Amino acid sequence: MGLRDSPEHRIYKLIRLPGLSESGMMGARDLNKYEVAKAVKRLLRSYGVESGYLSERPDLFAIKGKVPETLKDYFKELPVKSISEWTEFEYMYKYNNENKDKYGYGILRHPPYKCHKNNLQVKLLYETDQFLEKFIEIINHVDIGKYIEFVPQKLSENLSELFISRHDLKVVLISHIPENQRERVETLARAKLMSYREGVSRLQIIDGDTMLKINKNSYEYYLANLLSALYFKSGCVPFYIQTPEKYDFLHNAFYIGVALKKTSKGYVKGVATIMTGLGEIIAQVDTDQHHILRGDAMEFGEAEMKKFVEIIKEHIESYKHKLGVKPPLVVVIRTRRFKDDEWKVLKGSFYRFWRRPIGEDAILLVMSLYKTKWNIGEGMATFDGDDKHGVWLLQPQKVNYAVQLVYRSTGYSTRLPAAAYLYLRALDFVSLTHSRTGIPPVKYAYNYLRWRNIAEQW
Amino acid sequence: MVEKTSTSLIILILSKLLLYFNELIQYLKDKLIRLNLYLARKYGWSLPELWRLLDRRTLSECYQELSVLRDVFNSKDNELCELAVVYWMDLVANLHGGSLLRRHRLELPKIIEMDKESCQRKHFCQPITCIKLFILCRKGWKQLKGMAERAGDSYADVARLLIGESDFPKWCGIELSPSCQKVRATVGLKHSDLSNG
Repeated sequence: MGLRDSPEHRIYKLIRLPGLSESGMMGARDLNKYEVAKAVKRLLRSYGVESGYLSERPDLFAIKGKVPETLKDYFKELPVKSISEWTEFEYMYKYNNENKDKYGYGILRHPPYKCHKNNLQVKLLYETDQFLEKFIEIINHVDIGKYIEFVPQKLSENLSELFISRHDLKVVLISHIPENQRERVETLARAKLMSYREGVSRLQIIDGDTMLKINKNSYEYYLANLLSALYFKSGCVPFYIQTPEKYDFLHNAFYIGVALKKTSKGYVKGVATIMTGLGEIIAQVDTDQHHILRGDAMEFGEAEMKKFVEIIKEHIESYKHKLGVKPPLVVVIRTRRFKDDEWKVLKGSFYRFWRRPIGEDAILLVMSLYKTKWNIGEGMATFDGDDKHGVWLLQPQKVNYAVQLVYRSTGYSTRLPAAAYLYLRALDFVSLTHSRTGIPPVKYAYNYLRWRNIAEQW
Repeated sequence: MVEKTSTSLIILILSKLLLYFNELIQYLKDKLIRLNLYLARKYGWSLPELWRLLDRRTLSECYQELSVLRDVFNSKDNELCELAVVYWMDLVANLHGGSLLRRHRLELPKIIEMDKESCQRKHFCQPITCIKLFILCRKGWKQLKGMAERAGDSYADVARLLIGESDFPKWCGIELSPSCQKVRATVGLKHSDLSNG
């Protein structure tokens, strides 16, 4: 049986402290929770059981196999059920003219959900004729002539074409650049950064060498991903996600993703947003240089937090300007935990400011997302917490390992964080791959920081 | 002679005045009908005075034909076009009144899979819920206006139909039957006119 077929890990909650003498540590009550978790892990190993604990919740253990019979009384197994059973969250991809599909790959067959104009002008810059021919061969599998018009042009050695012309989008077919060609990579990164207009990169870089390997059997996945990205980067919305009525909140929300990048000058944090409401989806990276936060730690320092609150306020005003109302749900996502004081500042300063015009229904949700190496079964999930805080372990279909979702909320439903994750995962316009675990807007913000780091434009 | 001329002049003026008055009455009547229809669309008011303009048999036939059309969209799992038709069924039932309207109101929640209690809840809806809510409760005019401007074509087209800014979406491929065309022509369901009240 393959990895995908059989869940390997069970999730247990430590409910009583065992005598830890067997692990060489006495007096567990004197230890902090992380030391206890480490000691319990050692204890389990002494029984031949491999385990790991959740960094945010060291009382929760992922155990390969079962807890030994003698330690059974100290643990409670968390129920693992299918994601749909937990959340009743099912979704459908909607395209133009009421076309729908179970997957984002429907973009191969259906026109995009929304385009601000037809006949988008796309400059197609190619390094070699072979790349151009292959690209045409792949793209000709679909009829996108109504929406996209390609204008091919050969790419010069110094890549100067990347910096001129203002087409809706530029597509570059370029061979893989080895790391030792630093100057060329930097040029590409500068072009990428320059291409951001209205918070979306208008430059699609395609690795020509990878593209040449695409054959008749694999072109569909490649082309669907490419099409979705092309539409999105041209200013279209490739698809809409329709969900059950109980998740209407998700469609009237402001999602703010914070990405983190370690640089030579410490940690930088960038922001990207997704605004939804009235059937509209606006995904943007905040490219304002003054909105790049810097600090020594991965979490926000006091000054950074203050600035972050101001950034959120600015974006909420922008949401109101674009959609006419303030969103009833604000979700902040990052790949680091939210410390107590960060949560307090967000709730104390930002939430009060924004909640006033919305009223009782206003929900603030913060989520931290982590990858794990625990396989609890495809399409399965488990959960511990309440509507104010808790942790979800979710493993969508065709994903090898569960993701850990730690959340805090002003309260609505325990299902909301899991649904918000699944919704955003579905709403990823630049990756349709089934096995993806990262989500926009964090992913969009991270990509921007990555290019910025290569270009060293801090 | 002078007296005769002045009498005929007076008669001429009076007849002209009468003509203008008649035109004014017609104009006001027309506006009133349109205003009524506008309010009916927006708030779901029934229109007992309007059904007299149409014979009930035509309305009943139209309703039945729409009902068949709805089944077709339902079987094709084309939810938006189905809702567009349901909205028209609602309009026609309101024009007809009586037992048809009672039956329609009873069935409507089942048809759109939403109970009447939904109307009481404060909604931040996604497009499909907004459309259903509007049909069921005539609630969310502002959201529909926003959707008509901002949503993708399919939702926006249906939102425009519901607020009276356009006809059935072309991509639904709906061809109205003669009786429904008659209803539309008689009550002047020229959507662009209606939106002006």
